[in-house]
Amino acid sequence: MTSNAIRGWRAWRLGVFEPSGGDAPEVFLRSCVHDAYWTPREAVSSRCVEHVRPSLLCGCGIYAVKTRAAALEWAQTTARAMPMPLVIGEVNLWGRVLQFSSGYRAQHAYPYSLEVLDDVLPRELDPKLVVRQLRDAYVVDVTRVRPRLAA
Amino acid sequence: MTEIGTPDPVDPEIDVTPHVDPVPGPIEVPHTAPAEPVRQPEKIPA
Repeated sequence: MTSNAIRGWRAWRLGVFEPSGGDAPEVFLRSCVHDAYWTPREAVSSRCVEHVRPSLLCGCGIYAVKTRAAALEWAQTTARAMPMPLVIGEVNLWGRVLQFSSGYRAQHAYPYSLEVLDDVLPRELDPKLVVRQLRDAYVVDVTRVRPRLAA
Repeated sequence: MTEIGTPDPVDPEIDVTPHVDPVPGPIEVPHTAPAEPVRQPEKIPA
């Protein structure tokens, strides 16, 4: 039993909600692969039809990698597949956590800090507004970075 | 799907129960001004 959450790294898609009436768009975190929404101030939990907790016999669980470089590579792979606004960041993992050589699969997760990747942000999104909205919504540190994501 | 490698050969499964909730709680913002106005410092007699 471990009493501190495990800290990993992840990449997220930046979801954009455009309210009617000309108000500024609102942003939120989504999974890169699944159509899963990371609700602000709520833990994200693994959803598997067969397992309540991640199993070594399955591919279920909330994925995370061990290094920032690996998270950037994850974002790069995602950006190659489909151009989209992306965020990387540290993520707290707890519950049943499966440890792998390069990452984790966890039962529960919540962001610890976020980095908005400026280079893949569409023009209509104001980077400062995105940072402020993510910080206010998820109550974590949010910064802007300009990594060189190869096309 | 990102690559996370091979299972840890020593301890692949662990249970983590954090002492501190990793999910931030609600932010408490006072809706009304404090009942007592802030007292001004009294003048020091010359």
